[in-house]
Amino acid sequence: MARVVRTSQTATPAASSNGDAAISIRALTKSFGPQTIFEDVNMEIPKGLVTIVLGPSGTGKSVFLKHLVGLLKPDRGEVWVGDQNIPALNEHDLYQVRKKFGVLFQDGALFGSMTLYDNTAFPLREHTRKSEGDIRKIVNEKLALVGLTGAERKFPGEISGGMRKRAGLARALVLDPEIILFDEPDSGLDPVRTAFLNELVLDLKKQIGATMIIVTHHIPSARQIADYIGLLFRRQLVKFGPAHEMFESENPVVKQFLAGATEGPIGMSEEKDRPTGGAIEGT
Amino acid sequence: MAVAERPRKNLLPKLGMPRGLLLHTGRMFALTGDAFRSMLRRPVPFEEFVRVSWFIASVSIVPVILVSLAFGMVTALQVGNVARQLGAHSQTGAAMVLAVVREAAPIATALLIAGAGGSAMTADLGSRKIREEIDAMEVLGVDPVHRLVVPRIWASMFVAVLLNGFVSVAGIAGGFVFNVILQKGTAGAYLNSFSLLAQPWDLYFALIKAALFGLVAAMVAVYMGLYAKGGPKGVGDAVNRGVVLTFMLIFFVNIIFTLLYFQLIPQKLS
Repeated sequence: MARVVRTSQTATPAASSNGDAAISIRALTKSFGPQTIFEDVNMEIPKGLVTIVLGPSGTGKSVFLKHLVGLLKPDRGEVWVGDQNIPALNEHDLYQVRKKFGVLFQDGALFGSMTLYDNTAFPLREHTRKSEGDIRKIVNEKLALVGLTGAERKFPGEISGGMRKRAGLARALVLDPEIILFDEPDSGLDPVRTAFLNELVLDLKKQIGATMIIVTHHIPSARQIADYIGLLFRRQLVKFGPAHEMFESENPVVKQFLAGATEGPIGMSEEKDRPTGGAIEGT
Repeated sequence: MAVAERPRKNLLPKLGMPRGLLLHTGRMFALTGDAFRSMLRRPVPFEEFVRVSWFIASVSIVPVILVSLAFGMVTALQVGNVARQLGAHSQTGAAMVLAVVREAAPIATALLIAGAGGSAMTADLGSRKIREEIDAMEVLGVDPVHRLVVPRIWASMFVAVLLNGFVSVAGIAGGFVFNVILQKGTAGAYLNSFSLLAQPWDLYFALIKAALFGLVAAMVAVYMGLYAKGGPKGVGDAVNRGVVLTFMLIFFVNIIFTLLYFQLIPQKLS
């Protein structure tokens, strides 16, 4: 698929993101060796809203997320956060700009040698001069927020995957970040906890006005909390737009994925996927 | 599909091995460079340094002493036999000191640090890597090179130097047992012949060598750990490759260093 498919807003040569976008992604392309993960992804992630990036398993959603915080460098393209282009930053500036981010990794990515309390307190101890008393207050508050009161002294190895994930969220929230990234927050969570997590996301949006980008393939969550939805499929951002537009879209890929249907261009394996032809369109 | 139409990016011939070798060598030197640059940065991760030092020392001290005792005994046996036939039995100690201090101690120390400490380091960092702990650390604004790599390098070098002394003593003691008790040499002659061939520079060089080997062991171990991929099996592979590579590198560095030593330092009998 050598042709370049422009999706959403095409790249503009402006030197920074426009005012109401928290992150502007332009022509982002990444491959590992001969395997192209995604090509020419363009996205304006709106400030203070919940953006959900959907896509079948293995379409590079986590890889996409890692580009936003500079953990991976793209082959081409730009990621603007404010007036800074993440792939072009030097190490020092990158560490500075990362303070704006809170990231919830797939398995929580807690430090195995620390208790949940110390894990959650870690960013505060690293980046603030708060006293241990203040830290205790904040940490307890965040742990209560994710329902982990009483588990402070446990080590990550001693608790369930769902608890690890929630503790990871507490740690991601502890510095009150402007932008929060979630890598499959609902995988490994039971339906009730997923619902609570979704509620928490909506609360956070209301309370701290954080921009949230959630990578998932859980459609009910997308329906419940998304303001904007992007769909990654076969190395392309098939479509990106407001949630209601996406759910009403006639695009066969979007329609099939959001309905969870077997009929459509998305097959069981990548080889069987039929070419999407003209299905990919701009918004 | 997209692959075939794309122009090949690398100009190197597609032999696989040399390219992989170059890539790993380059990345390892880059990591070493990064580590050296962050060595003086504050705050110095002293706590981690102490913890890792203690860990390396605790897993390698017993095996390294046993190995060097045995090595000392075997050397004493070999040298003693030849020396006795030449009528120079009383000079066994001279050869022992040279063999143990110059070569056996730094190498045994480094091999044990790589085998016991380095493998554990790789496994530890590798499993953190695949659990995304390293990524999380970077996102939380903490440089893993400064926080994890630097203290490991210092610890490995520091423990290598300390253990080197220990091992030298154990090796010479092992030789003493064999030479004096089993081969009926005299203790006085054994001890007295120490300074026949050896000189202080032997010891200084051995200490530098031990530190250098410690550096090699630590660098390979952290590199393999931080670049581990492919789940738990990937960590196992990384440990395996790390230990083998360290062993080879240490012997290679040793040749260069020993050649250099003979060029730089005048020998007592020449």
